[in-house]
Amino acid sequence: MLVLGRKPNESLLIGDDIVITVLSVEGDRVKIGISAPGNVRILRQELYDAIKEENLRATKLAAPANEALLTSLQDLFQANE
Amino acid sequence: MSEHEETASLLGDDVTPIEFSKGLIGLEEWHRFVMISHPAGGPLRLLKSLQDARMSLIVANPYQVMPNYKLTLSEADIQTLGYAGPPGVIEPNHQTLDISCIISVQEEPFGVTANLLGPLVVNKETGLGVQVILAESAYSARHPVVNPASAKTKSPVEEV
Repeated sequence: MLVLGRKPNESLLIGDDIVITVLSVEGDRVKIGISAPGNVRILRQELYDAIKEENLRATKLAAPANEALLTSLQDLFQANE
Repeated sequence: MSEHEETASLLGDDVTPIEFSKGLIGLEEWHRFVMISHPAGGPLRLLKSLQDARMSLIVANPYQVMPNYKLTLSEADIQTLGYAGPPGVIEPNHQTLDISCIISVQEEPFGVTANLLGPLVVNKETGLGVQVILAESAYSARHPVVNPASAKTKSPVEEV
């Protein structure tokens, strides 16, 4: 990992069209501004991790029994309507 | 007999393959799926891998789980989907885009949750799919569908 020290209002360039600016530092929080093209996905890592965890859980739990499980769950969803 | 033929014959109806070119998040090695409705009907469907017969996911309609659910597609998402429409909010019952959310089940205590944070979107015209991350929303990856305390239904997991 490349490690660079930056002060508030200093920026970094990634490639030709991504600019990362440190806006402020207050205690243990750093405010970062990112300017990037619309087709570049910017995400907090926790969101990605939460979805990954759910995908793995849903797959693992459902794997062998999914078709039977599906039948049982249909009723819960119908009752929920 | 290929796996695809096997899956199709098991289910007996016409199944159009879906290509998740980026895979699902954390499951990047699986790209090709079919979306299967239950022969007896019902609101849930099965997203089944064409590469591994053991790999499948149960999906629901997120607008049923949460009536005012709002899905916004980014420019990157519409590119992945090969969708011609503009990015932005997608209306429920969209003509071209099939929206679903992955369901997961916890056994102890029994509970059913829907992943509203990372819905699946399939472009029915191109057969391309993507798992969207609604980063700007406050949706949960584990939105409770059934409150375990109020669920009168016996755990279906035990019956399987």
